[in-house]
Amino acid sequence: MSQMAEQISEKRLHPFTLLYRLIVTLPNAALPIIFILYSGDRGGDWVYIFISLFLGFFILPGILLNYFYFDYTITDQEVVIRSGVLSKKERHIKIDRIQNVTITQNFLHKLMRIAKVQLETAGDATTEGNLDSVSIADSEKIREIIRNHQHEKSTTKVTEDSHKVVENLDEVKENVIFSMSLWDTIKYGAVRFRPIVLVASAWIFSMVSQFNPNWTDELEVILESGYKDYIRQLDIFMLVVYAIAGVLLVLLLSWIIDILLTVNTYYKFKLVSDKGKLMTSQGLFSSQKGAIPLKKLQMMVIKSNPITRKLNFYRLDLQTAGFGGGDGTKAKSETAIPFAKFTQVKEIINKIRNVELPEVFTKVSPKTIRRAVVKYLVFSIPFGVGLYFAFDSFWVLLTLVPIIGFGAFIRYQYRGYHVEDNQIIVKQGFWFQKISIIPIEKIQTLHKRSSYFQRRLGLATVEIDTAATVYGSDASIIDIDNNVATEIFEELNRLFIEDKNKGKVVK
Amino acid sequence: MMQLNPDVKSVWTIYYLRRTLFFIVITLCLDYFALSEIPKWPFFIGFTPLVVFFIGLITTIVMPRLKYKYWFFELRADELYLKRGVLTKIDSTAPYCRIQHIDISQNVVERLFNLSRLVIYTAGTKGADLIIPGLPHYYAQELQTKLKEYTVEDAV
Repeated sequence: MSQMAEQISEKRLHPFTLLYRLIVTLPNAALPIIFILYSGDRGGDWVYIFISLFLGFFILPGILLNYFYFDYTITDQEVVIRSGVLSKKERHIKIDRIQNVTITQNFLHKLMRIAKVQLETAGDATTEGNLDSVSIADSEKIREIIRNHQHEKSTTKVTEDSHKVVENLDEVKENVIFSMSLWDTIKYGAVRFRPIVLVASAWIFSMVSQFNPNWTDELEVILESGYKDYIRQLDIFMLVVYAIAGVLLVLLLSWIIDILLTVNTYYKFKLVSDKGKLMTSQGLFSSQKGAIPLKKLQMMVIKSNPITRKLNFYRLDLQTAGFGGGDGTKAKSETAIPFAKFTQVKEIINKIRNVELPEVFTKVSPKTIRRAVVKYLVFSIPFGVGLYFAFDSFWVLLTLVPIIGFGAFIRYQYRGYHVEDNQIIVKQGFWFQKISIIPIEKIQTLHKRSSYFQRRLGLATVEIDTAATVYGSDASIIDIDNNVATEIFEELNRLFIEDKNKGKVVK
Repeated sequence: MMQLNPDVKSVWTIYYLRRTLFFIVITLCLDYFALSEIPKWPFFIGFTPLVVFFIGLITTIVMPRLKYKYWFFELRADELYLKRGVLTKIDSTAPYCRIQHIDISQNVVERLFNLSRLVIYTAGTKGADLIIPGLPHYYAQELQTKLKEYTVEDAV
């Protein structure tokens, strides 16, 4: 291992940055250009002069000046980024405050063989560094230098034999703990069924189906002949077949798009364990590298849907905290394993933390079914009204009853929790199941909440708040018996105060 | 278990009045411009604001008292404990070692009654919920210094 402290001083970004920024800014310039071109009949040659003036006077000098007035320096203490033409800015980032060095490449970057380096610190977004873009070799070098400096610091503190261990780690170079083949990625894409993709492809389908060249003529014929006659002459059977075919086509389309998108995102996915961090790398057209500092890990979430569960495949997300406190919080959720067998997910969770996933979860109160039925009934009122008017019959509404009942029951069936001495595990959801594992020492605040309706049934909700509570990702034990809730509330409270005190004694 | 300063009822009464006024104005506009245009609208103009007025009046009278009655906080050995809520009851606990910083804030209404609010921040995002309203200003400062002793640098 070279002890010589490597440095970079006052280096500019890669020259291709100029080209890259020009291409990226062009869409912004497109709007005025389009506007000018459309009114171009009157403008004549002036249009082109205007466009070149616009490019020449505003965009190009900006890009050039920004490029020449930007440099970065890396010493063994800090990273200094200097920028600004009129108002100079110097940003100093202490090396040991840097938590992640993220290297990303989008499609353009890939073409030009450059990369974007992001230096993430524990502070808020304003204290971060962005180097967009440097050559690939430089990006690796920056990462290496920063890591070495951080590394030196930590090794000088400890004794010699741990030094040996560290060297060994360096020899191993990459400790890959999980990777995915192309076939795995395709399989993963095939079972994701993301609703957003379904909506998007339905939209695409509806747009594309408008492009029938004779569409307007047909409409005219229909309108002229009186649309009631037209509808009467339609074959109901064929109409139904068309509708079903359309739905199937949309499903197929969304399925294929989902597979393609997934392959693009997770191509050559790799999870590497590296000095208290997990590093991920993935991507086909735009490769992404990320780091998950295990020290900042707040919550582990195992996700699945009914289809993946049937095939025994699960996803693992790790939620980390930023600095926290007021406005600086930058909680993040990173995917550590997109798609793996349950035993494999368990294995990797065990590498991160000693967790024993329970076979059976403690169930929430069955009274939750009653609450869910009421809730679903309220939500289905607009739907029910629609049904009533469409079929002009009250009895149709009765078909909703088993659906709502079944939904409420499923919801109850798939909810559970498990309290242990050093962690709490919460399970919820049928369509999008989440099993959240929260280390006791990461709990920030605890809430016990009971609404008026919950109190009528003697129920309560326990909310567990960590520093990584991203919106919609909180772990709550919903609808348990009020006495049980109080017990859990007190138990958790005792556990995490004790845990903290233990830590104090050791220090 | 400690209760808030009783003056906080007056502060809340003003909040509720303000909110009622706001909704009256909104419904008045709605009634005048939109609802009256509906053919066969069964009510006279000014009916909805009237309903809002009565509901608002009742909540303005009842809610501050109830809220005060059910608001408790306690500085326990290792944790700060809050218990409050009329319709939805919430018990919260934040261990002192999790508290990152504490603000005292006061708005115009609170200043009228010489009251302050203690806002307690932890690294948890919902930590912003930890607010103790209706404390006399000197007492809020006392609490702040007391709690400050426990705060830590990095609680994540």
